Amino acid sequence: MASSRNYDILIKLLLIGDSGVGKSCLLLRFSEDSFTPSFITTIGIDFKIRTIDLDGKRIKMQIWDTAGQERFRTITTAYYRGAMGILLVYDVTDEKSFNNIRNWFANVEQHASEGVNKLLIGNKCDWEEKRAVSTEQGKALANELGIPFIEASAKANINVEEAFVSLARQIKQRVDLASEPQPSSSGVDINNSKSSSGGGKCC
Amino acid sequence: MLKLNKSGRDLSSGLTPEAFGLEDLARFGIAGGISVLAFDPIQSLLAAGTDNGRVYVFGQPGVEVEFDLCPGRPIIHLRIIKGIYLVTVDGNNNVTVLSLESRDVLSVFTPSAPVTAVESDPALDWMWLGLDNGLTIVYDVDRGGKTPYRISNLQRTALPRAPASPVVFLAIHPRSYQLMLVGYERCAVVYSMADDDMLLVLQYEVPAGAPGGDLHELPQQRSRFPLLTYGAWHPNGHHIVTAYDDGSFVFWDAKEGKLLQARTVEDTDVNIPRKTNHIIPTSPTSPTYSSRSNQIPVREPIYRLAWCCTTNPEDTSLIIAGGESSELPLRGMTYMDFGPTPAVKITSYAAMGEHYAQPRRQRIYPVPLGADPVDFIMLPRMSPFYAGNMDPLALVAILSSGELYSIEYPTGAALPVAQIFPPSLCWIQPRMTAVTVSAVRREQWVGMMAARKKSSLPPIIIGGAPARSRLRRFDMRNIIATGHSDGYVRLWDASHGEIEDSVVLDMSIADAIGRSVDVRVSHISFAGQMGEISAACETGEMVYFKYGLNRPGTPGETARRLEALNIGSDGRPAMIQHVSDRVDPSVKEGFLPIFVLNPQQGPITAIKNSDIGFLAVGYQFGSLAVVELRSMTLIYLETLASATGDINASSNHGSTSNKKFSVEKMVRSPSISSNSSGNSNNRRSATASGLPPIEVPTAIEFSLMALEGDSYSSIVLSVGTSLGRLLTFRVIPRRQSAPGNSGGQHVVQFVGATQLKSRVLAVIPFDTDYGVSAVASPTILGKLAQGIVINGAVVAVMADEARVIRLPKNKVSSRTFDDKVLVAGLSLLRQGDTLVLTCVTEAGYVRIYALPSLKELTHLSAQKYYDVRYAQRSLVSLNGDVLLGIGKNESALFNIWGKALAPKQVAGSGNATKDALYDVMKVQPPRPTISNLQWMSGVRYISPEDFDLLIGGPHRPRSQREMEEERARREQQRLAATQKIYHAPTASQPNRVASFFTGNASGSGGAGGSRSVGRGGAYGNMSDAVDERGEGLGYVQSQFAKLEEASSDYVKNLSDFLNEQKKSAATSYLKSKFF
Repeated sequence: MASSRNYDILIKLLLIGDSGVGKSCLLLRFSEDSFTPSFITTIGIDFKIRTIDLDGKRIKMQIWDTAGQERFRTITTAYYRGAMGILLVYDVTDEKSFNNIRNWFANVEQHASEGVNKLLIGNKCDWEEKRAVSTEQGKALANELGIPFIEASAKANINVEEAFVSLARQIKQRVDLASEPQPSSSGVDINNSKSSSGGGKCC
Repeated sequence: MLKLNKSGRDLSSGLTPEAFGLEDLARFGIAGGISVLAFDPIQSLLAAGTDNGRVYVFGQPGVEVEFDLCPGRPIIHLRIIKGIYLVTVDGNNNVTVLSLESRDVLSVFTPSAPVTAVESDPALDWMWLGLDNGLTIVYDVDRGGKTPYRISNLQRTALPRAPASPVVFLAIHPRSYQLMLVGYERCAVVYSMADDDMLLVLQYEVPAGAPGGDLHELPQQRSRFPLLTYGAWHPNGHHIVTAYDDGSFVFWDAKEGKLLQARTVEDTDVNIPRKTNHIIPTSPTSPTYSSRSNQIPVREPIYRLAWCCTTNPEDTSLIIAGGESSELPLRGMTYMDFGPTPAVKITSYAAMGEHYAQPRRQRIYPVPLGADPVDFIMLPRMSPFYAGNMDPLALVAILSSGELYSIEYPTGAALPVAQIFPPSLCWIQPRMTAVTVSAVRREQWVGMMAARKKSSLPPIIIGGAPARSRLRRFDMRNIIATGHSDGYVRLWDASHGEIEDSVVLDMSIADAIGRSVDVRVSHISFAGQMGEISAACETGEMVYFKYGLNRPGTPGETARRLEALNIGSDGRPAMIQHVSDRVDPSVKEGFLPIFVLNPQQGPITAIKNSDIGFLAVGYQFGSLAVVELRSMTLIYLETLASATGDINASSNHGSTSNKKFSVEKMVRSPSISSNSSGNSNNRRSATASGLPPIEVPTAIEFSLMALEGDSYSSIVLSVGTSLGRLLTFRVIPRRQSAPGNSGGQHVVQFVGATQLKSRVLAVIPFDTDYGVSAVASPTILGKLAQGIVINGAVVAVMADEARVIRLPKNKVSSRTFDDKVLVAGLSLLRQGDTLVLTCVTEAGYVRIYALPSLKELTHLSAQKYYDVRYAQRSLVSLNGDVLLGIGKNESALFNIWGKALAPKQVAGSGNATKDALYDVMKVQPPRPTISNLQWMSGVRYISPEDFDLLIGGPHRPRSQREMEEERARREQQRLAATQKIYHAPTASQPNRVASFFTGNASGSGGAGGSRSVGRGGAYGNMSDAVDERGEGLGYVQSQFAKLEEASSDYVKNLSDFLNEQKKSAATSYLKSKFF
């Protein structure tokens, strides 16, 4: 495994969505390229790290996988803050999980940092015969919420890498953009650290 | 029916003041908060020290021994050594050694300087005490005396210019006990006690530009030395982890002292300067740090960590308390599963660092109680070694509030507390927020207990043997129900000190409501005879549980019922929400959640689940709700003001339609916004807005009696209010012809009100003819149909007055109190002439008043135990038991008939019949030692005798135990010589166990369980040889062919040992036979 010793950007991502939509499976696929069909409820928060190369930069991704169950909701929202990207996951074979995305989205708006990048993922897209939510519906919702959309499958390894990487890319662009106006952002952080922390905040 | 004179006959005529006496029966709960815990898996005892100087030792159900060591000062350190010594260090800096066998204090020692760290080993007689001045001294726990041995202030030697530091922590090497990791603020030192030599000095520097544990950039600009807070060995001693006050922790190689990895719970390589600022959380995207008063975010220090392993000590994981960002609104514990350690000999330092940078799995165990976990212990399955962290089953976290929170390892699920812990510890897991007591028929209770959910976990705390001190036999058991801040309701027999069964039954309102925070239980009402419990959540929801079998209902039927009962058809949540589907499917029989009542009337102020199928709830917004439980219908919901205001309109006829109307009116009323439930601020602002105070129900009771003027008895609902009114309602069957289709069979009718002086504390109905309680009961209800007339009255108790009233408004007698009453209840000894009103008062008395005259019969002083802050939580039950709140987490059980009842056997001071704790037959396995390979590669091995000599000095006295053991051994040898018949069959068992404990999975031979046998004589020498090579031998035996290069002497010893093995197995068998 590549050394994690050197990286240029550290980003924190969060997976949210109803219980059983496959958040942990997506993470397992992305971080270890494996899949388990058994259902294990996440209790609390799981945490994985993967470092990727993106446009010549080493990006260390810290991914927080939350419990989807209703009873853990208040606990998990406590961890929304500080996340730079949030993956809203639903199950294309489960209409209820799709309908709940609005609630999750409202939750994000309420608890997460402002300007956080979001991505809507319809998981289990390999399971066509059971499909209950069409790709068009997913797209329509994503458009309505103003966030990008992708259908993926952790089991068949479809679009999992793409989902995480595309979100990472957006965050990277945002961070690059935000740090550009800073006069010496690429230099050693002797002088600008104070100003970047103090002046750069948007709220 | 009014043939009685006004005051009725004297129901307390059979009593004189001499009949009373406060008998002290039992204590429940814990005095103060828990400050420290210790667990011994061999004896299977859990010890807990509190912040006010008590130590409790718990074993199997019923075993609970309490020591009051230093009243008022906390217990700071607590250790169990060799399964028999309990060593405490308290706030007075006394080191106290208690024997778990005799339950006596063996010795007390006061070191010259405050003790700041302790270390002990389950197999060694020594307790290392790290002092404030940097010295480490050793106390001989077995003989009771300070030893001549000491470790000097190593930091002063290693870093002469660093500021003076106390010893921060001490950790013995898990395999070589002559190696001690001594932590100071600025460095940790690996010290060899055998060689009197500092082997390694581990100093952690975060250079400028490296993030360290700091979350803000400002401190990152300069080089810094975080202060050490804790440290631990890898379970096999390959590596060391040290933790710091900036929330970082560092892995070191234990041989060369090379830094392998410095990290925080989130980031890795934090000791390496970074080119650019990577700390994105302070980038423009993140919000201001407002969550905790605009402070610069900091990482919590690491309070404690445990390096755990599975049964294979190479397969490790780390549990960390602390180290999280102060920004997180919720604290948790971090679990990092590293998996098998790479082979130490062939792995580079960089690769090893990578191993610790990339845990196989990492998760956060949230602790949803609003308090920080500051310390924790692991509960290992079997082995006491590896710092108590081998193959743990669970961890128990001590929170800053003195509560406990238990987590199953490694899943992170909350542990089923009631199934694992003794009732007293359940009171603080977490904090108890409500308590009630109810009478249940004995057979019924036993039946309920039998159906208790069986735990998926093996029992953990099973040591000791309970003593039976008292036996009171009652047909009715007093069941205590406690509600907790995490939504659990637990039931247990208040007389648990007296009967065989002291286990706890539990249920969770959190599951029923479907969330895990803001589920503090505020009120409980337990209808014991019906097996019904209603528990109120602080936010205004109420969950109704009923005891029954868990039959999965057909979804269609559930949906239909749900449809029929959805009162709010306008999309608002139903007031009664059926939650039968939220039951834990693993529960076969038990208290099942049936529905949640939430009319959104604010928090609940009073609740009464009667034994006759009605439930009444009072709300902060001044309303009263009544549910008919058979049909699960809300038959009444009205504010007290409007209920009593429209008395004239609905006094007699046509009330049905009126009530129906009023229910609808309430539902539609938009004045209470639906999202306000649970927001107590709303409530406050409502009451503070200058309007006259809302009249709120404060006491509710159902009774069966004839109201004045009636010639029949009916179900009477009495409600005492905050404005000092006593309202009387009648619950009557609904006439079939009546309109409306709410589904209920009964309606609630307001009868009348009486104005009293002040807020009503209790409404207590009693039968004025027979001198018994007139609280509604199913048997009496059945007789109502036969037209019996129950002449009853109600005592309304306020803080400064009690009044007996023949309902609805005819005063019989009254009495003003000089000593304010906090809690009141009815007690009787036998039917007819012994009915009294028992009151717990502000001045610390239990005052007893005759009925119905309200003359004071006597008063009993409880001032010795008394604390007015907690006495409000007291309860009085019908059989004369008073459960007096005497501490934050403690209650005492008294009985007022102390002298009259004369319990069969009153134990003197309790000492004679204390529970037994120590079991001599539970033999501790040998301590794990260095592996054979290590030994052959030249790692120094020091025998226990040499080590004891080193620490204890040459003049150490022989212990009593040694002498006894020697005598016992001679006896055994004699027996073994005469009876050689028993050997082989048991030979394999101790071997297997021993190899398990030593962690040598490949051990086919291993050391026998001969450790308990002492030294001396031919046999003893041989057993020394066994110990000396410990677990290594098993390995050697299986690798026999490869050992040709080993000395022939060694092989010879080995075969001798194997022969001896059989003999030792035989003797241990004999021992078990004869002792």
